[in-house]
Amino acid sequence: MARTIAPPELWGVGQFRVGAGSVTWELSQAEIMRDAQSATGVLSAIGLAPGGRVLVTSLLSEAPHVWPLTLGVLMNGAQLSSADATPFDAYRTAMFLRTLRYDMALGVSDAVVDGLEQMGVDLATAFADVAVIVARGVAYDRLESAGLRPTRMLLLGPATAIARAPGGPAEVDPELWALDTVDGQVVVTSLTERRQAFARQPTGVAGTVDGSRVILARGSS
Amino acid sequence: MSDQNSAREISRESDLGDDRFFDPDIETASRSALAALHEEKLLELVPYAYERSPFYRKHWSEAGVHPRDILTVDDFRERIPFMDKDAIRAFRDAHGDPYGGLLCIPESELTAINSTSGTTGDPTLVPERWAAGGSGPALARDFWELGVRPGDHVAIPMFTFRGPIYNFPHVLGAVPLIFDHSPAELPRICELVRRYRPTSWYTMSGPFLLALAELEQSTDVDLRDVFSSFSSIVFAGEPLGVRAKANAERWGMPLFHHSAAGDVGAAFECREHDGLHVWEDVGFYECIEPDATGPGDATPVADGAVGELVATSLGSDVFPLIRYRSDDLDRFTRQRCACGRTHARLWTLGRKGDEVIVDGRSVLPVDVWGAVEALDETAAGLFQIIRTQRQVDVLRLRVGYAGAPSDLGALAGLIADSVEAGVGVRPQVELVANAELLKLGPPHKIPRVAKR
Ligand SMILES: [Zn+2]
Repeated sequence: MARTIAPPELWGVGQFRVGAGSVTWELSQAEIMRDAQSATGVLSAIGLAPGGRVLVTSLLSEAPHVWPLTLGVLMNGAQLSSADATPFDAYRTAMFLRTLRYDMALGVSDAVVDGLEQMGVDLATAFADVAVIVARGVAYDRLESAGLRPTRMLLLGPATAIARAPGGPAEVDPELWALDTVDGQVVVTSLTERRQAFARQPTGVAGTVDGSRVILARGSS
Repeated sequence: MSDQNSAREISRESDLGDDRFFDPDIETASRSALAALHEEKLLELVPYAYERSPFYRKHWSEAGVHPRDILTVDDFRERIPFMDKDAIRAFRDAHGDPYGGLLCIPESELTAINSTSGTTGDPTLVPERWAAGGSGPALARDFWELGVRPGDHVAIPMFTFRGPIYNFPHVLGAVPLIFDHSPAELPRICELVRRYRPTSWYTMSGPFLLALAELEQSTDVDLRDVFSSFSSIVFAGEPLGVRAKANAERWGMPLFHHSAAGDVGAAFECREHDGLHVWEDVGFYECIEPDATGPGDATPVADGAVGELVATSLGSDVFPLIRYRSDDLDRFTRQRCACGRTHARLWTLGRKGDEVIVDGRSVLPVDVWGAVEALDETAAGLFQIIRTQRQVDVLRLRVGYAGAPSDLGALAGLIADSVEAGVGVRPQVELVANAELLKLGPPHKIPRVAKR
């Protein structure tokens, strides 16, 4: 018989970025599950339905943000594919988009768009049949310039903010996070029990807040 | 710190008992028990795949084989035709089936659709239906042997494209430290390793070792201290060159080799360092004459000899590979290992598709490696064999150099001398900067052959 060992209380140690730096981040299994429940609701609200299919582009170091979203995809009864959010691995993103039907692309970043453009892939054509394109950073603006209607996503320090509709401001789950600003920068406070509690944690994101919504400063992404 | 460091001092004596195995029943099963398991699973798999997979129905019918003909493992070996990645791609393109005709369950039942690495060409889809536990159990056996125990941390600099493999330490009660497999992450990795003192690392690569050497030169980081807590550092993919090996030894890295096993499972070294174990309840592995054209002339090589690995998945009812020619040249044995495990072991030599024959002499990247690394300017071991076809008149190499050598012509001559002395064939050498070659690959390796 194989050994059966209880999983550790600690899910993992990752990081979140603040500007050019990063903060080490310990997460418990319990908070990952709570974040996954929240992600399930958000993904459903922006149009993911049972039988859907999602292409997730991320870096492994983003797993603390992305694993709850991944579980959210599965809890919505949808399928998922994964590609690295690097210029090199954009060939994989291009292959998936060419080969299979996707209802959602989740986490499209500058690196992915860079890689696709280096390959000579036309963004409007590649994403034409993807109903919901959740994009972050300058990738959002580049997809919009290509005539697409992306949905804004922000990795906001330890929080994840996703707009509820294309063109709208990114939002955090108000049950999980409170937002404020300090010197023009968004800060986040955790509202639920976490291994690492956050009180007015700087995010490096310039903007103002409107409840749980982030209004990005001009020129900020 | 002392209790953390003691984790790596697992004494061999204390490990040779039951504590050495994560799943003792299967890991030390007798060969006859494994043979019985193979018979049961293969005879179940053949009709299952024939009924559900258009690829196998077509492929086997063309070979004149029907499941009713397959009543024993010998029938399986003698009748079931081989297949390979090109056959899957050809079916995919001819029939517009993204799964190459191999999917055996309704598409709607899939959890995830991931893909092969694709570094050798276009990636192919890997459809999956996740069960509770995922890929954890098989990996857990390997990492238990490599010293991971409940409460440990495991450093995981990896990729996302094969799915959430990084969660596997949970099965062992251990906690993953999650990083990108990018040399840019190394300063942060070193910092967190010193804070959490992980006992295992999955995975280390050639470019990472190169970047560590550069980090050591440009900062005051003490890499012996960084690697002091590890009982295992799993090195994937390419052969480890002499310089990289010397550095790893100097830093006190307990390196263990790891490789894919025919896209069906994984192979890991155990602490005996005597070959890489495959799990034979996960895959049915054969090692055949590399020139074989079909089951008719596919003589199994003698135990311990070199051949091409052929793999059949025993654990997949979703997307089973059956008699899949891996293109991997391995030495292969079913002799019991000194660790007590009874499952087969292999030693990877290279890819059949990377081999060139120069003047009747076989040359693989592994043969050239040491000769390239022996010179200071090319110590990084970054090179490609230019392989326009398998049989070539001249061995052509593209070799990467560091810095700005004053006389490239002279350097090319020295490399040619070194390769000629080591391989017995004098190459033509084209020199390019290391950075140019590194651009060609993902962060963990570069293609070792190029068409031009
Ligand atoms: Zn062994």
